[in-house]
Amino acid sequence: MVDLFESLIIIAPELILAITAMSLLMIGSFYQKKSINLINTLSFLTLLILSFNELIFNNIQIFAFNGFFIEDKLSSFAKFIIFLTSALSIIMSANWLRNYDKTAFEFPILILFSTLGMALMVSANDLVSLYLAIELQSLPLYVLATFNRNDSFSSESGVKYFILGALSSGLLLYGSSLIYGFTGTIFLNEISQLTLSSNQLGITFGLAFLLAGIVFKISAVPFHMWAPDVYQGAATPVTSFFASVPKMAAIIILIRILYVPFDNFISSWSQIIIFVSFSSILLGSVVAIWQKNIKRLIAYSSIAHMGFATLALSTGNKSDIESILVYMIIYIVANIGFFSCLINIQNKTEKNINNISDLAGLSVNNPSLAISIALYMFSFAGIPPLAGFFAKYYVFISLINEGLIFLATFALIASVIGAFYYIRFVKVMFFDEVANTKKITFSRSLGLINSICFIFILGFIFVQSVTPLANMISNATLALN
Amino acid sequence: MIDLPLLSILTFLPLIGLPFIIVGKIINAENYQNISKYIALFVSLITFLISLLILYNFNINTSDFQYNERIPIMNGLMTYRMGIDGISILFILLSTFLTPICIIASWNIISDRVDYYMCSFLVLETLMIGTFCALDIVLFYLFFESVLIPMFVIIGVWGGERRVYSAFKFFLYTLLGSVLMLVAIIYIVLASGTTELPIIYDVFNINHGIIQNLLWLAFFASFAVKMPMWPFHTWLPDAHVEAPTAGSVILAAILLKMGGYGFLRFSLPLLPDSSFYFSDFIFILSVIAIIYTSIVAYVQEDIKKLIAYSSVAHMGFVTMGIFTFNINGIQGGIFQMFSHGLISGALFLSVGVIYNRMHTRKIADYGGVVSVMPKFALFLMVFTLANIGLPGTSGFVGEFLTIMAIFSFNKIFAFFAASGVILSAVYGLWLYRKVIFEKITNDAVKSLKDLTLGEKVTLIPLLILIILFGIYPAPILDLISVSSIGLVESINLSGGN
Repeated sequence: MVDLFESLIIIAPELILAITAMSLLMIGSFYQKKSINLINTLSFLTLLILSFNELIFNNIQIFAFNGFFIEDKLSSFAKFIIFLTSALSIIMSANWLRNYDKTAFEFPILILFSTLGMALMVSANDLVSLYLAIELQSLPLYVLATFNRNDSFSSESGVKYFILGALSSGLLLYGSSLIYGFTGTIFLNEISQLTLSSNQLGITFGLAFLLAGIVFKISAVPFHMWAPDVYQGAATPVTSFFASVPKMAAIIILIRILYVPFDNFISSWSQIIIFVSFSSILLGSVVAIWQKNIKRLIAYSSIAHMGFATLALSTGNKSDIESILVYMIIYIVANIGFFSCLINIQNKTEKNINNISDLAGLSVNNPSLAISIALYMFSFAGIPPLAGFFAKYYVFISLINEGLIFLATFALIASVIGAFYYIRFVKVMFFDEVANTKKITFSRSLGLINSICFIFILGFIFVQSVTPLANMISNATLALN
Repeated sequence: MIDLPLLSILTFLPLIGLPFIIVGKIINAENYQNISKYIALFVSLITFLISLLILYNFNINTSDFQYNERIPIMNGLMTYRMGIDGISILFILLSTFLTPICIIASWNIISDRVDYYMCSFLVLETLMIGTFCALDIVLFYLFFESVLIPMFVIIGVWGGERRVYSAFKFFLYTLLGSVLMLVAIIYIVLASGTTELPIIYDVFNINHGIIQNLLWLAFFASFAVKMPMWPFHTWLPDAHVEAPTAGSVILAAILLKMGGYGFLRFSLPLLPDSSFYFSDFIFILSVIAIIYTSIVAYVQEDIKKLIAYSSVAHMGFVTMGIFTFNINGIQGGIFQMFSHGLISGALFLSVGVIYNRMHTRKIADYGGVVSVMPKFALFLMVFTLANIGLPGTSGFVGEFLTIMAIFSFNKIFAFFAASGVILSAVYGLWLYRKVIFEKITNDAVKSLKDLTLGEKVTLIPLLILIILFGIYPAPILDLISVSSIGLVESINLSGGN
């Protein structure tokens, strides 16, 4: 065990994040809109530095605060992704915020607090700190959902998200208390040793409630209902944030919950996961066909993607975590890329871009935007040689390796259904003839983000072969063994 | 010479044209359309020259893979392994030969977003060559499947009235077939522990049973859709009819051949017992394809649709030939694919010639074209006769070899297959009579002009090759024979046959 001082050093990144967020809040409340650029820059830089900090200093496995907090390769890797993506979300929203009213400075600060919650979440090693971290990341998200406060859709989405989120937290807490009741401990790594000697049925019951709470956070079926409304109602930069960062944190904690304390219960939870993932893929793919609103469609698409990511969990094999991590990274990059294009279009045009049909004829005057969006859509659909294909390839290798061939086949067939609505974007942008669409240039920051994502998605083979990413992922995978 | 990675250069050379086209558009915004055409033509011609260089140094006396390149990437989940044998080099030549022709054929036809169009064709060329070069099972899948993206765009953007429907049908139909193949590929990769095809050939050995049959069916799902075999052919007439002329040429001449190539490269060597087990099934489907689609072709009102159905019928010979497990059949199947590539390409180009003048594909709108376009009538006659399989044209050689092989395999199937030759004469000559002869009923036909220089440039090379390989098929057969024999010998059936 490490003492208090060492614990504080281990948790330093989170402390820095918390202190930065609170000081920026002070600055913001005094200088209000004048400080928006400063707050944006500082929060971006803090997150960027912290993410590289996770990249450089990562420990094998170390507990802090008597086991409340765990720092290992998995959590470091997750934090690297979470900090980096949050930083990108702040840049992506900057232009939109400048035209927003005087409370705009709250936006980056809310993102900082939510990110802090996620960082604590992926490092949580006991049920109480897990619950507190989840609440810390959720509360700013509820506020962010309503951020467009003059828009009734936005308020509706925030309220919906809050009520359902509170319910899911309740389920999570109930599950935690059941598990505590039957095992007598809240530490994740101790639960696994006690599960065999205590009441199996009670623990399974608690596990199911616990899973319900987490599955709500990744918006997988059957706890997906909030996602379409919230995505649609929230402002586009907020949707972009929702669709990427919290999913990563929730997937990591799902992995940790399933493989650390409930390692002996694989036969119980793998059925739950198979149901959750397969029904998410099916529902996400089929229901999205009827969607006209872009963000609603992306919500269903993210439901389907979460299904694919959790599919690799259903094998119950720890080495398949690699597939999940690869899937999540590719999903997040494609999402960020797509939203950078969408936000750019919304910033530069007067009329609102809500429906897919509003993108009609984009290819005529804006080839770079149209080609980028098309690329992300083909990647989402899993067409090679784009990254989205490799994401699915990894997952299906895991599945077939464990003999789940029929599950793999059905999931792939469902992905063909999903391909239909992705290529509809291409159809609208390239095939539909609309004269004189406005010429839009990329703003510098969004253009940079988009080109990085574009290169990542197009050249994933090189990214995976040349960069240390693959190494980092396999190290993170080994953390739980 | 040996040290240069020629296959990689060949494969990725067309992509070099893309940045030039983009830069050309930025520098000279008014005249970028011409610039992109010239760049695309230049790049594709260079590619063709490199493919000839590869042919020149190709050793036809070995069935081993040549020009091997190997770079392990993706941490063992994939290897960049390229290599060709006598079968693949034929299709590579076909691709590199037809792409410049397609670009010339689109020269004055495409006016909307020319830069996109040329980029799509160059990307398509890279992917087609890559498909035939890839010696890694996953790399093959990458190329094989990526072809969907440029083809989807080509049909959807520059196609006819129902282009959106056709593009979606093409995309989803072929994607559905391919994902099943992906499952089989992953299974094989996991069972043999490598993704490199030459090693898989040695290592992968699975007893005949339900699993081999399922794997075979998964490959079949993909290749049969691509081929296309009856009853998975319904996407083809739609795609052909709506695609622009050059798109139809590439679709008929190269993309359909990927199915046959896949059968030769994967189904036969990897899953020989199931291939034998299902050969009757293939024969029945092929016979239905030959007879049924020939009859369907006869009642078409649309010229392109008629040629599309005739393609399905001709592909029936290919599948029958391949599944005879006999050197004549396999050589005949490959030759038939090659010659069908030339002939169907030529036919679609010819249809393009009159479509660009009349903007209708209805057979009834034509008639009496011979009196205003005599040179065109001559060209179309040769192509139609070649399509029928007249001796002296390349169409004859492939059909003759396959029917001979089928005859030694099963005489009843041979009877039905041979009847397909007659049926193809029925619809082919009927089409020729309706379009070229008879009285001129449509006034628009009277003012037609004969072939332009650009059209002659596209049609003459095809005409020469069709007749040359009809009279003297030896170069092609020499090229493929050693590899085909190697393929036949490598098929060791465990079922005692």
